[in-house]
Amino acid sequence: MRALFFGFVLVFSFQASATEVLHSRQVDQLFTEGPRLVVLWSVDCPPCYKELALLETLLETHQKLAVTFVATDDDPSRYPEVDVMHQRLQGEQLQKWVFAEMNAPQLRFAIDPNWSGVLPRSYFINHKGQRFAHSGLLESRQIMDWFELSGS
Amino acid sequence: MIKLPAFIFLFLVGVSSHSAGSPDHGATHARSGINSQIGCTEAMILCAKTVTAAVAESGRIWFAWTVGQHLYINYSDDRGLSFSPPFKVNQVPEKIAARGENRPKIALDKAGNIYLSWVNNLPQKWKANIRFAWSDNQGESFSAPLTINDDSKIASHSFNEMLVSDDGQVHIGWLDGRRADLAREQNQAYKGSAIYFASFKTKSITQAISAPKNVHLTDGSCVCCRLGMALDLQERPLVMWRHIFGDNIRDHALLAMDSADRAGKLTRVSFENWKIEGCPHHGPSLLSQERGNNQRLHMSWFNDAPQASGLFYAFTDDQGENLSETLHLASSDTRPGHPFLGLTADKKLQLVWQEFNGEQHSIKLMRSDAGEHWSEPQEIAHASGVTDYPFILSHPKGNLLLWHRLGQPLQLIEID
Repeated sequence: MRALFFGFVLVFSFQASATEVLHSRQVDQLFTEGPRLVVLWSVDCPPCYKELALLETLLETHQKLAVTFVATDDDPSRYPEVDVMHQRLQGEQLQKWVFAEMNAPQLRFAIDPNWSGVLPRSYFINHKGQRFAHSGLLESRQIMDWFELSGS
Repeated sequence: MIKLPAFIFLFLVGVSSHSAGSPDHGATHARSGINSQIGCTEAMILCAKTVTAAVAESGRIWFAWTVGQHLYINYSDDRGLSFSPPFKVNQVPEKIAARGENRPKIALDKAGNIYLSWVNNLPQKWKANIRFAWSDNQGESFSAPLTINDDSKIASHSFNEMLVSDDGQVHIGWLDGRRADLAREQNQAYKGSAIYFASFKTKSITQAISAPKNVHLTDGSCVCCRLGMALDLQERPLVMWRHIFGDNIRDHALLAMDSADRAGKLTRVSFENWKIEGCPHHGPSLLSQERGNNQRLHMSWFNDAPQASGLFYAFTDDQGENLSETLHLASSDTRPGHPFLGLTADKKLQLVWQEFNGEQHSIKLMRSDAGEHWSEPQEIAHASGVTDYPFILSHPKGNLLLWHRLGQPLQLIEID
């Protein structure tokens, strides 16, 4: 019973990291502290789901990984689908955002004016606050190297 | 869950537009709460996310657009000064893809028959059907919608493109996931999507036709980029698309149909070597230009390779066997996208694309006789807010730019 109770507490604590709607003025919050991986994805992007599945698995063994998930779907009718995916991603240092309604071009520009919009897109912020951009699917090895993790 | 304050904020934004509405179009606009798409469900073109158009020989411009689960058409006989009331094409509601490059298409034949093709999203994720309807009475009524893909399994079918020849031969091409699904079931490797094609003729709208034969053109297409289509001088289809070459090199390919049901040779036509396993969401534009007894194909595309990023253009006189020098039209620092090639009434070239400077979207235009020499890019429009992709409407009284802005009355811009 005690285990069940703590299970519920755990679930609700993860739900506390609910998806927030991202506006341009908040973009700096994505890149404040490292090491952290920022992953941009969309419900329209099949390769993104491969990357999210990879991270879901990685987070099962590395609960403390600091990862920020940002869905670029700036259409509120798609927010529920975003949230379903975000709820699957569980960890101790996760942040979850979705683009504000009808603001995708502005937000892409605010995040990185050199980003063409291709997805998945990711940024790794190291402990010095330096940002490293990557377009396309991440490989497990790349993530492990960034976070200086060994094994899988 | 999405945090509630965000929804409340969006609701307030929508409500705030009530008092800001102007008395004409804006009055309805304000009732719709158009600043937020929440509640904008009226059958009005300003509520549509995407608008596509086709021009009849008479100069009538037909528009196709979606609101809710219905596809609508309307027309303008005065180059966009006034518009007919909308007509609802599909009487039975269905989910219609109308986002970015995955949007309904409209085409006309010489007799003025109207052809529509769209993607019907199914409840299963990324699964959809290619749909089609036509009118043989100037849009007064349409056939019942027909599903074009002939596979019996639920699969992905999307990014439809359609061309109709003068005599009413319909050509529809699309990205198709049936072979990827089969490979997955058989535990075999498979990259990207297949491209399928159907060519057929309609009958009277009261005479049902069955799904046309689907022809497999290729495997290995990018899964999320529009196709470019044109007809050769024998009116056989030509298709251009973003292909996956080798180890995820996303360059472009061109393919001519040998006949209505047989694919010809695939020829690579871009060489920026953009290597990425991802979704570019940028497909190419392909345009045919007759030059005496010959045909020149004009091609424009986006790529984002580290050493070659932005918009590009080239032409070919022999369906890709030999290519002109590639022209780098716009560098990536202007965030260019969606190039679209068009012909003027005197068969000169126009090329438009969109750019974004962080606050405003703008449309650039270049002109050329035959692709060897181009004018300097000229900004012909700019706007803030939510903008659709730019399209050139080749009109007998001078070309027009179709650039829809969500929540705004449709305006066509003279570009001749």
